Amino acid sequence: MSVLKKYRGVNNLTTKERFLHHVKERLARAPQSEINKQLNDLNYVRQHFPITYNDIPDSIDAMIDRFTKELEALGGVVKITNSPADTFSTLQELLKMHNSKQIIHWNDESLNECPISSLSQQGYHIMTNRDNNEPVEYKHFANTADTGITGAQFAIAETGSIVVESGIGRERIISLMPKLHIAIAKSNQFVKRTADVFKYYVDNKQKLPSSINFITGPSRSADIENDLSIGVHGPANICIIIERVN
Amino acid sequence: MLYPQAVESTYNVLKKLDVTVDFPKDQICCGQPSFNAGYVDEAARVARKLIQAFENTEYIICPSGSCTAMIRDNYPTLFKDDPKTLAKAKELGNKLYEFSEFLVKVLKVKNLGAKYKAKVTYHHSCHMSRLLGIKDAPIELIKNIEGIEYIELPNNQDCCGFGGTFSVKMADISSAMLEEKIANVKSTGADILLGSDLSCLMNISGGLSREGSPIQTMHVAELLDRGLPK
Amino acid sequence: MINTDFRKRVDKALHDEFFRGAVKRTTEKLRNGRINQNKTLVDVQEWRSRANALRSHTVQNLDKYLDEFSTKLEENGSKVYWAMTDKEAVEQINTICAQKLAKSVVKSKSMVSEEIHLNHFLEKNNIEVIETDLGEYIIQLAQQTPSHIIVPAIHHTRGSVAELFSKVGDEQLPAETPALTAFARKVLRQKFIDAEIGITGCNFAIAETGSVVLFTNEGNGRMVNSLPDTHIVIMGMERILPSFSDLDTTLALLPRSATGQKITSYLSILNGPKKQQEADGAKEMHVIIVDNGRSRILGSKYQEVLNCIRCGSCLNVCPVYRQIGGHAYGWVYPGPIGAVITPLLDGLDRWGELPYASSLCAACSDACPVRIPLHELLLELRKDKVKLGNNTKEKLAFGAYSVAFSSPTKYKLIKKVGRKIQIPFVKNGKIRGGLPAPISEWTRTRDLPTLANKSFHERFEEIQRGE
Repeated sequence: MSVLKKYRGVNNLTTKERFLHHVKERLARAPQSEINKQLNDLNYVRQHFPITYNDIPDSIDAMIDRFTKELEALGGVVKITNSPADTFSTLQELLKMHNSKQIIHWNDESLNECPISSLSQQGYHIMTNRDNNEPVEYKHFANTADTGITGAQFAIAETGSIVVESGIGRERIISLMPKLHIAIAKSNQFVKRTADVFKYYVDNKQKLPSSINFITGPSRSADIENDLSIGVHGPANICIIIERVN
Repeated sequence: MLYPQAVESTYNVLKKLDVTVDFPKDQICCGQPSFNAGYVDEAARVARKLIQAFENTEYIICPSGSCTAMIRDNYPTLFKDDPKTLAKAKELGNKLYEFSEFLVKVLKVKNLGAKYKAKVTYHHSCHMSRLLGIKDAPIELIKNIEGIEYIELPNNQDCCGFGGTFSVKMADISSAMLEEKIANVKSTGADILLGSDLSCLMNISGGLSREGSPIQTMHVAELLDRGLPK
Repeated sequence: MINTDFRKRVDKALHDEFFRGAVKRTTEKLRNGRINQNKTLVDVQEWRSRANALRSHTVQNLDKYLDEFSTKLEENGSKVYWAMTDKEAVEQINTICAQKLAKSVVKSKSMVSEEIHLNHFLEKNNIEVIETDLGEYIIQLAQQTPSHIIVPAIHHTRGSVAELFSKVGDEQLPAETPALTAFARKVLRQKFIDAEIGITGCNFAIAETGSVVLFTNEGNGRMVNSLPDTHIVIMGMERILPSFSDLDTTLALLPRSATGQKITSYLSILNGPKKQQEADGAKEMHVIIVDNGRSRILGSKYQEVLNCIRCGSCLNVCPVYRQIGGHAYGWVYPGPIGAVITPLLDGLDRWGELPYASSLCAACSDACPVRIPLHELLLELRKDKVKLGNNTKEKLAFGAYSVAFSSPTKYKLIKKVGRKIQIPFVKNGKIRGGLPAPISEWTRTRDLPTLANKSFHERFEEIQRGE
């Protein structure tokens, strides 16, 4: 309360200006030291504290290997395919294995070569929110889906993560609400580390999607007596199909 | 005044290693109990006397990790506004070595040829291991004593619960920490618990003695002294 | 003069066998997790040094980065609010809820929301608040506060969770984790869908792009920020980084330090509300930037504590926390970080005993991924507490100590007198009790050694004489 009293004299400022003015004022109290001066320069910070990274070989095969190891250790499943046809048949195997019935999926060019809608001919219910006469809010109809199929923007070898961006035809919920999430990634989407993905987004910061999610394995918690629970709110099963492309 | 035998053992071991040892008689205390309780001026007064007592020495060896840390780490802060004393404090810090550190790093001796048969374990005191970074020196000295069976203490870097005035101000928490430390000591099956800090040893031996445990506690210097011929 | 409430809380914790066991098991698991996962980095010290420099730099330039962040946020279509106090923060959130005619709010974990007592305030205004983090949900049902920053419900057994959940579902649930988890999933799923508003915290804000970054494992964080139409972010003003490239530094350290993972199951980067044609996602995003006492710390000798990334590493290595758990600390943040920031945010006069709830063992500073010298800050707080006064007896005692222990003649006298005085209390070479406070505190559970007949000062004289 005493903090606000100080600003009786600066009534003309907006709340933002008042807030930041106060912060600046307090910071100015700090005694100036050599260390502080050096730390003021962000470039100094980034250059003066170098990081030695783990070695990850350049080859796509090595990256796929590493990715697979990381994700399998977390309970994820990885399938490697050699063509769109191979991908589609692997997808069908996974759907059968998990007894999928209601499927929601991305409607995105990254999945153009995968005829997901044709699965309806095999008895799967491929859901869209145009099923009803009046469009229902996405979250309502998607809640009954047991399987979500997406593409990916990146696959990260170091951590076994995929990166998904939101967008038109790339709903967030598809990789979140169903119990099973299947993502189709291409081998040319592989990067070694998270730093590589961040660099991409720094370079493209003018056109960022509204949300980016790094997904690594199934949803988990250890909140009940340190027991591991899988599939708390998000998917319990995650399968990544890696399609080799040239 | 509580454990003169540990200091005497330090003296004896150094003499057996042909070191000329003096004990400046004006020395009393490094000031840590007061400093850690937040009473800075009182600590400074005591510290100044200590600095004065050690003014004309080449090396200073201290059989206490926490006192060594106090002088090296905290005297510069304590005297930052008193340049004259600060200079002397820094000089003192530069000449000061913890006992094991001195043997291993300065005298470059790890095996003194000592012999003693016992099963032992070692408690790493907080200040010595984390603030001074001295972890290996005492273990090397211990392991090289012929006849010693050394067993690593579980969670050996966990605090024993002393913490100066903490042990009486927050006695319940301190006792709980000590209880766990003693359980770990007992689990090793050791006859002797070794340490490099007399305050830790006082705390742990106080608990062991209260429950009538036969486990002895000893400073590393004492074990070495017993293992070497007179 | 230890606060009696603190003593009571400590006493309660020390007598709860199950709780003590749970705290030990959890902290042991998490600290080993951090140590092991840190080994997967080439040199964790490099990352720690960089993280400390980065966070220090950011806090030093906090006004600049907050300015940049808020500008970008607004460009992205989010609304920004500035809350200097807890009152301003809750009132602003309540206003948004009222505007949206919200009846229910789903929340994912936010320590700042606990600072401002958000839940209580919203419930008073007839808004249902549902914690969706499994641990937070459990303690919400139990009407308790968290006992650990990362795993808030470790003080509960499967049995007590089953009891709580069974009441909610009006069915008898077994005390088995899979069944309990499945129940929570089912109940909370509907809440996510029905809620008008979702409230999250903010692990890191990215100034350069106006992004809000969340590290989560369960998926509830993602549900909260994308299912309800309105998303509110509560952010402690210091939780900010300059750029995505800096996020990599905290990414390397936070999951390893908090849960022993390389990366959390979900790392969400939110760059504003959903774009117009997108079929899902929050339609509106509101970010509340909260000061609540943090600015008091700026420019002070305690500034480095604002580097904190809320990982809980310090809790997991603290030998005091290990014995007393989180509730004993009395406020939102437990362990070493709590012992430092609680007095700083809420008053040293009210929380003066917390900096003394430590043996200054420095395990916390050793473990902290951003190298906050917590044990040094605890000592600084003690110095400040002493200056506050109200400690006559203690000051006299240390005064006497400083006089006696800086004079060889007085010291000699003390020893002489002490050796005589102790005699009636000595039994079998030890002192077992009978002495007044505070020494009686020691002798309750430990024996004391006696003052030796000859100190080394006297022995040395004998040795020199050839004895």
